Amino acid sequence: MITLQEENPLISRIVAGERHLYAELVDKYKSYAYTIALKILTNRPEAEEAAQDAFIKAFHYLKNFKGESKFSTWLYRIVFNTAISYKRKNRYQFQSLENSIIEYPVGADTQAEKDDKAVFIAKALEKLNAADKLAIQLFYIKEFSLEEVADMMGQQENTIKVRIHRARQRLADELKKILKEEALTL
Amino acid sequence: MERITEQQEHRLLHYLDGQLGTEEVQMLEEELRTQTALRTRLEELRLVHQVLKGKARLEQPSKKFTELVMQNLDHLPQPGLLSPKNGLLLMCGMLVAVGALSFLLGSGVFDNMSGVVNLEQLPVNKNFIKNPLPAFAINGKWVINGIMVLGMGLAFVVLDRTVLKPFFERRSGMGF
Repeated sequence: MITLQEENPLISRIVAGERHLYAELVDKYKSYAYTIALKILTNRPEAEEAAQDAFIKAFHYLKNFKGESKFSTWLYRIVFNTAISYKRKNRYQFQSLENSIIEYPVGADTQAEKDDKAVFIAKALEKLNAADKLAIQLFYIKEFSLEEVADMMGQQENTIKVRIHRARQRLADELKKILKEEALTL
Repeated sequence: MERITEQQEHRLLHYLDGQLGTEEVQMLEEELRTQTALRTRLEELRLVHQVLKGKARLEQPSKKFTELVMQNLDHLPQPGLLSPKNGLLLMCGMLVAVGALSFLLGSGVFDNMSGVVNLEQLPVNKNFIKNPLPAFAINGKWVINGIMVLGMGLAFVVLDRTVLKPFFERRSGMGF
């Protein structure tokens, strides 16, 4: 896998005509790009297509990349915008069951309780506005820093911080509400 | 039950993220020992934190991903038909057309454009038509006025779709 230091010389060689080297960049960043697209589109085939389109666009605009920011930041922004365009085009697509799989955390609760709470939080996530939901999902993926999430979404770092705090507070409130309702129905 | 301030909530979140200094942690832990509501809230937020952390992971695309990208490198995806720049140009074009029509209308070019459309004269089979068909008087000025109103309406739709809507969506934090 190429390192960050190797990236800029590699990009110069790609721009100079060694296009086959672009595969190394695609390999390095494909899972990041795909994850961003999937968080926005919530549909695997569509996310794959959007991420591929984003890489193709990035290749064509690579000569405009001046190396002032990290390549990853520049690429994530292209992926983000491409996925948003896809989302606008297919606004009414439903979420496939495949995407509803939830991974559960390690904690003190029993498996059944954990399952329930994870499902409740997934439900509560759906009630957040799209930007808050995306910010919090990307923030929790360890690989993306707060700064990267902010750059990607074209917003100030503080705005993203506020979004994430607000989203977590709302999720906790929703979870409390849902658990209370559940307890009442027992 | 005691109320939790917004500031306390933020400190709880920073605590979970490990962003508090040693002194701040000690202070908060002291408060947690004495305030039940704060403790309960921490547990609620901790649960959300743990679930989200557990859910978060990098997704893997298909194995052919890189190969497909490399195969299609020459097929640059087409951008939307109407970029904000094109939208503005189209809107300006429409406004110029409406302005020109308005000028012609004012100078009386369409004053003599009027006539009658008689449906009776249409070459259709009359066997199935019992009642006589009506005739309509058409005034050229009214037609041009209609076209101008339509043009103005279209110009504003173009402005809304290509400039205003994307602009306000971006301002409101992308609201997709």
